[in-house]
Amino acid sequence: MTLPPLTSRQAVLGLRFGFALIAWSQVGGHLHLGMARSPWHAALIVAFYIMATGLSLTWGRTWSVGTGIALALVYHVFGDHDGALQRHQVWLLASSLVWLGLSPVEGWRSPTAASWPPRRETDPGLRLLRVQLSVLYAFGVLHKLTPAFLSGDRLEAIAVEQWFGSDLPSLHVGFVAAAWATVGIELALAVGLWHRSLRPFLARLGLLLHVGFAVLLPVQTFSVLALLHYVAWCAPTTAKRRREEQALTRAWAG
Amino acid sequence: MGEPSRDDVFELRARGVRVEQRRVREAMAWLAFALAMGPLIYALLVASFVGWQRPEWFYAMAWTSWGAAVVAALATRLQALRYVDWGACDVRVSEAGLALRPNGRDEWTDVGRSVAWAESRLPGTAHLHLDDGREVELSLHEPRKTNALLAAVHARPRRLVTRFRATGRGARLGITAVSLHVLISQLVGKLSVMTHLQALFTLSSCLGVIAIVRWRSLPPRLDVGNDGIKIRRHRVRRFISFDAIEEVHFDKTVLTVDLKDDTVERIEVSQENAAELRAAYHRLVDAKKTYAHAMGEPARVALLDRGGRSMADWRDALAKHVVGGDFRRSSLSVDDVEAILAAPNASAEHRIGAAMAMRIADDDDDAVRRIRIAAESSADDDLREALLEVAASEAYDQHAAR
Repeated sequence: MTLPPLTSRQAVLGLRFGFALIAWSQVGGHLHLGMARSPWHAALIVAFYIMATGLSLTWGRTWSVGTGIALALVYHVFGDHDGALQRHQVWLLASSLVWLGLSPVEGWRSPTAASWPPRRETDPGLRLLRVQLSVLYAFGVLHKLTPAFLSGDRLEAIAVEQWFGSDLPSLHVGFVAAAWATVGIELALAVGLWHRSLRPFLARLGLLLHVGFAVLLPVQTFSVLALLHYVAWCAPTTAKRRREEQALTRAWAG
Repeated sequence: MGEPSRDDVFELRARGVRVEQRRVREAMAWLAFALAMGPLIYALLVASFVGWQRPEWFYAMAWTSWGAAVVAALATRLQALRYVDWGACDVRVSEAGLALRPNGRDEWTDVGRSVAWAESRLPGTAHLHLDDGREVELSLHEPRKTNALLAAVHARPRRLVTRFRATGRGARLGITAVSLHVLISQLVGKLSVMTHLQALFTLSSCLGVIAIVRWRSLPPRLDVGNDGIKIRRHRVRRFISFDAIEEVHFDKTVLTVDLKDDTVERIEVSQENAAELRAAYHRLVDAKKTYAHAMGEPARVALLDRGGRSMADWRDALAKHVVGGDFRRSSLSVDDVEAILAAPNASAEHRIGAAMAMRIADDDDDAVRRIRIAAESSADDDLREALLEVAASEAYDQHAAR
């Protein structure tokens, strides 16, 4: 089983919808004009809503980049006011939207030769999202290389807090194994996704990891955001897939 | 003015000769790289193995090092470092390479092993590109001389050898990004609270990123032969037969080769290499067309199969087919053998067999010369070395003497 094959535009379109939904739910639900302490703050809030609306309803790259920049400003300006806006997934979403803005999606509705010229290279935006996913995992590993995490204490504390309370069963060895396995998997994902033959296996492992995070830990938004990054790996990376995409384009263009 | 002679030696007189030199520039580039990365690597090494407490002099040292890196990087652009001026010279282009004889001297000085290709950017000037990637600029002041020189260089049936200069763009971007990132998020405060394991991981990651960026921005080397292309990056060589190439695309500074196994070879060069890449692209397209229309192997080519035999047995078997006393046993004609040797789409085994058969059938200088020409036309290093070995071997003398 390999990753589902998508054309570059299908991948960009899917990511765009996914990021728009997260932007509305994660930021839109917390940001309102009552938070504005100056006209500039009010302008920034209005700008975010205009950009996010454009992102949801149109195909222009400007809306994607604009929403990304607005989100980054919101993170810095309103982060102190509302903790939900200063979570690192907001910053991650902002950078993802800026990268996505480097990949055009225009023309997917009217695939003529003029509006949909065949692409030869992998889209720069999708490439940057792949790099971002690797960097994300690398920093995940970096932050876990502490005695507190590697000894299993951190996971044990989360288990106490989220699941067992004071009735924690005697499973310390299991927590140590889980801690090292998490570090190993994240390290493998950071590097191995770039290897063509390892990618199908690791992609499934990554999906399982994030579904596990979403179910077992309170990190749903981050998990969905990381999972969306895997869509960037579904776009063509090989000459054959590119040729298929070009042939499809030519066939549709008549 | 000289004319191409029977020995393919071409001589002329140039009013000015400038030879590009790379060693000093490459040394300066490495120095710039070391100076730029030095503070970062030092801090991470200390944090990994000792524990980091930022010394007071660290930033002074870092800024001095980064400043020196910028100076060293800019110095590589100086024209004074780029060319060595030889003045007026006699120029000799031959199979042995390029030789110069400055005014007032009797002896020739070898400058390069071989001239890969030549171009004229301005009327009356010629630029020769040597195998090792250096460029030689000749001021001839006479378009007639220039044309004769270019014709002499390009008349030789030889593979095209390029050696592009590093693009540097990826390396600069990567180094800048890594340096800034580490400077901002790690050195200012965080490095001192990192565990040794975290510092070691950061160091390994930085070195890994630098290695990847460096590898990706290395100047590739592209050889175009009559049987395929060879791409060399650092120490990784890959010969690709024209049979394996699906499509070739060229766009100013990017050459993309789509292969039938779904992989892509992409060669991106800097603007200053654009002419060289264009020349390689046109040569590639022409050679691929010629290859596609090349005559197939004759039916009797199977007689050249090695079949797991030792070299001596293979040689003896070939001798029976080529110079059998009974003409009915002489099942491979010299024409057949020559055609197979020269056929770019024949297998390497058959071409080597054909070269051996040629030495057996017609062991004179002409046979050796033809084998050398076939060898120099191939982009396949293994095949070329094997053919040159056959050409130089003395084992065929006894067959010729029979």
